Amino acid sequence: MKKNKHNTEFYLRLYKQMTKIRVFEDNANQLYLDAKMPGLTHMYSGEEAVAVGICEALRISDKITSTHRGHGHCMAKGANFNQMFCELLGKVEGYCRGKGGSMHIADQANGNLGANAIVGGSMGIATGSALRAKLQQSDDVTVCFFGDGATAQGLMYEVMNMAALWQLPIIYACENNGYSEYTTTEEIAAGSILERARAFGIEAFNVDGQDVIAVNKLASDLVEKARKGKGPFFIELMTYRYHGHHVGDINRTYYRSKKEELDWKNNRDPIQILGSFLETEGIASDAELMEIRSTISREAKDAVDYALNAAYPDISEVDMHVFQEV
Amino acid sequence: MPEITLSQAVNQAIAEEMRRDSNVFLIGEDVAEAGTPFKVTSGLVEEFSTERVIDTPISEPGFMGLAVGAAMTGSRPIVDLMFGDFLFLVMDQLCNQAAKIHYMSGGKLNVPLVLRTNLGATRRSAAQHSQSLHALVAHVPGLKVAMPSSAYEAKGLLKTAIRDNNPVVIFEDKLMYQDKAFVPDEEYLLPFGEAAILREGSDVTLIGTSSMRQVCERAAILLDKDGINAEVIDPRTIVPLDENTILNSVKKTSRAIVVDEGHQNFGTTAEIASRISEKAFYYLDAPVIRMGAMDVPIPFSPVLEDLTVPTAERVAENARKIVSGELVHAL
Amino acid sequence: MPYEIKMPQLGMNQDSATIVTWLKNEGDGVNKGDPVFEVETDKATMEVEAQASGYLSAIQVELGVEVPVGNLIATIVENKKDVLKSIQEPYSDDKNQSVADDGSKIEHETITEKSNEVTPEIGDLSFKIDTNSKDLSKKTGSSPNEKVLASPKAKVIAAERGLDMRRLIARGLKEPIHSADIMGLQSGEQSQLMAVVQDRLLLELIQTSEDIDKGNIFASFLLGSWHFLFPDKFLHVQINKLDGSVSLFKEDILPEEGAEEVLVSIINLCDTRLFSYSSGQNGNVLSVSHSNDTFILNFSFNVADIKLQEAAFLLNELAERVEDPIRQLI
Repeated sequence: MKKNKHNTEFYLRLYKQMTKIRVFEDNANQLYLDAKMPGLTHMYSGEEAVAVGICEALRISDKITSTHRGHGHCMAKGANFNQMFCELLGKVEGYCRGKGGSMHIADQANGNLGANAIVGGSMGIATGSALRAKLQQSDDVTVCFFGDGATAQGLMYEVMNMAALWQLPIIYACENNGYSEYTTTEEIAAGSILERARAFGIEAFNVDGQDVIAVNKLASDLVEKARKGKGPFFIELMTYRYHGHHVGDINRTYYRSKKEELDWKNNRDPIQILGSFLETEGIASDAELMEIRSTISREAKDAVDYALNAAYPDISEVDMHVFQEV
Repeated sequence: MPEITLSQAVNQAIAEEMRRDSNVFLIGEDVAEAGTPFKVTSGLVEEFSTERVIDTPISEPGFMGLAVGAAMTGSRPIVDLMFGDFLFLVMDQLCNQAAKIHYMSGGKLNVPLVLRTNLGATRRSAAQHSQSLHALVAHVPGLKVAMPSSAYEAKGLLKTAIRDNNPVVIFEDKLMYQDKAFVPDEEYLLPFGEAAILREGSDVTLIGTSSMRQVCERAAILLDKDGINAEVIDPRTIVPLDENTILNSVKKTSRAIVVDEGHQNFGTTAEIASRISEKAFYYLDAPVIRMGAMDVPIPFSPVLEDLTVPTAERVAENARKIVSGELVHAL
Repeated sequence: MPYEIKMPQLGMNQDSATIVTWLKNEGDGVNKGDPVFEVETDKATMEVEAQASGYLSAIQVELGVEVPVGNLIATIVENKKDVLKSIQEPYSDDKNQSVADDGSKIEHETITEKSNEVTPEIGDLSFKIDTNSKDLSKKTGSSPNEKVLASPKAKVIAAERGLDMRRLIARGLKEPIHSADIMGLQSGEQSQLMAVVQDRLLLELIQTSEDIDKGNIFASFLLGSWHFLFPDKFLHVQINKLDGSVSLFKEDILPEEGAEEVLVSIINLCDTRLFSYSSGQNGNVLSVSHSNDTFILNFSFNVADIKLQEAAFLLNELAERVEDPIRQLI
């Protein structure tokens, strides 16, 4: 905690990582609007502090599982622009050789066990990874990202129960962005989300998901405890997604008001919040931050061009990788 | 060579593999002290401790998902699913996750897990504990499916399954756990995708999975008396399926009956029969006959339940018909 | 740098939409996030927001006209002085004008001409069934005559042996036919052909020498015909007499090793009143009789040995030689 307070490099890294996610999403969104991207994707814009705050508390060897809204987690866990754009466009240089796409993007080398198109579908996998860590006496921690909507899935309770019974090194990170597709959280989650975890004897915390420093502080603390066998833990992060449920969900005032969206964008933007903090504390100037943003924008644009021109998988790959052949 | 029960064969296979590779562990309901209701895993917890023989709450989707995650990150779990009927509970984790992860990740992640479960009716357990659902999982690309027909196959196939880097579902016939067979003392593995010809013949090929292999063997003995010479084949694994052995046999005999305990409609028999019709068409002197469980939920009353599964007598009867040129299923 | 507003993709499987209202006019200041125009798809009407700040310039499309996704609609320029009027009739300042109705419509083609830069690079994203080409050209198989009910294996055997199963059925074989039913038909079915030829020239030839055995003459004519037509198949000819005696007609050539060998028996009925002969067994018999200035050549043959067409050629050739013996010498 205190050691990070004057760590300029660290703060700038937080800023860069969040900016990378924002820029990636803006470009991905544009690719969709330009009809250059197959299928749909789900934007993480607005939630950057959650992924970055948590992943910055993890080592490369720690694992995460992601959701259908997974670009943020992927980027925060160390992915690069080129391979991510390639995957979204179905090109062979993508993280999954174009075979997974946005909703199944995985970055095995960086410990990202994959996005999941099934809501709550990763929970078993994350908990299993933690079980494996305990069985193999490895000190890596697993973070399971999921949304408030996933708290409606039975699997969550099954795996939290087992995680608590066996004290598994896992952190359940609930990204509560207030909406479950087109329905508000109040309408789909009875009672309290935190109490659900506490019912299993799991310590549960609430944090402002737009404050990356607060997120990181809490996450670091819990990760270290989990590493020592004191897990599992549950975090509820209050956040907001700027875009619709998916990129095609443009006309959405019927379930979410513009006023509310603008309020979050203007007053609670995680990148702006960190930016202001850095400027106020004299850690970075406005010009420096703008420089960071434009550098990243350029890199992203180059990556988009790269991906647009990159090759598709050869057709012979269609029936490869069904099984791992020895 | 000693004779051991199917239950002992499974137990031995698990124990041997757990000794060989410390990443292998067993997880399921009542697998530790209780050794499962079928007593197949008794004694393992004494040797391997509760660290590696893990009792779970009654959370099938939960522990299936855990197994997937553990397998993806370095372990080699064996999941015990108490009844094959519970497959329906684990389908998302098994079929949407485990089966597809290797493919969706472009080959970068894999899931070396074994799901051990059972099949088979006539135990008077009624509809929700008597199903043979292997066709369901055989239908999903990315899963391998093994069907041992005796203690010998059970041990050899399970060891292969545990060493396979892909998700494998292995079905044991719950009524055969006490049936004995000769099992070598020395270590042996049975490869996937290799069928066994248990009896050679020239007039008709009988293909039987799991306990239907014994049904076909008994039918062959009955047919001997009629001068009909039946060849009996056990596919051993349906994914991958050893087509060549089956097709070569049918080329020789020109007639085939496929016998399986899954429901007759839309199941394993349909798949094998279709492949024979497609690939050995010009060698057929009779339509390929499917014999599966009756297409009804399995009834409780013994009198009714026993009607729903193929028997040696009915297999022999169908064989006589097709040898004499009669149609089994009329237009 | 000017920002190009293109028709966005607003839903899956949607590839065009219609602008129904302009919410900003050319020359108006626009902030990023401001709604600029309203668009109607087949699902709903929705607002499209500006993705950049500046001044709206160079509107390229008409209201009420369907515009493909990706097409250039207008531009946002940084400075007001850079604002270009659209290439069409300028819009009036009336914000609520819906459709340009002054009659000076520009051809649809020029507006929606696809600019290459926005061509989707991925091509067909959705699988489109071309409903125009409905003629899935049927494979015209052979016209189904009466279908024979037989197992695939039986059909293969029948085809190999040249058996016509319909004939077999007509002669009493019961359907469905299995291979066991035709396995017993070892040599295929027996057929018959007959030829009638003028006797004059051959009789003249015969009368030139005495004691010529007509059977031998026909045998050598038959051999001649056979060698002419089927040089690769070897013919043995057997002379059968009415007293039951059988003798092989001498040949001066021997069959090649591995060559197919066929046997035909000849029976000469010319000096009798008898007309034809067949033995009732499977085999090939040529009986020759004579009546009213004609020779009658009656050929009973087994299709396993000699196919129908071969027999026809053979008998025809023989008939021609009998009618004009010079042929035999050539």
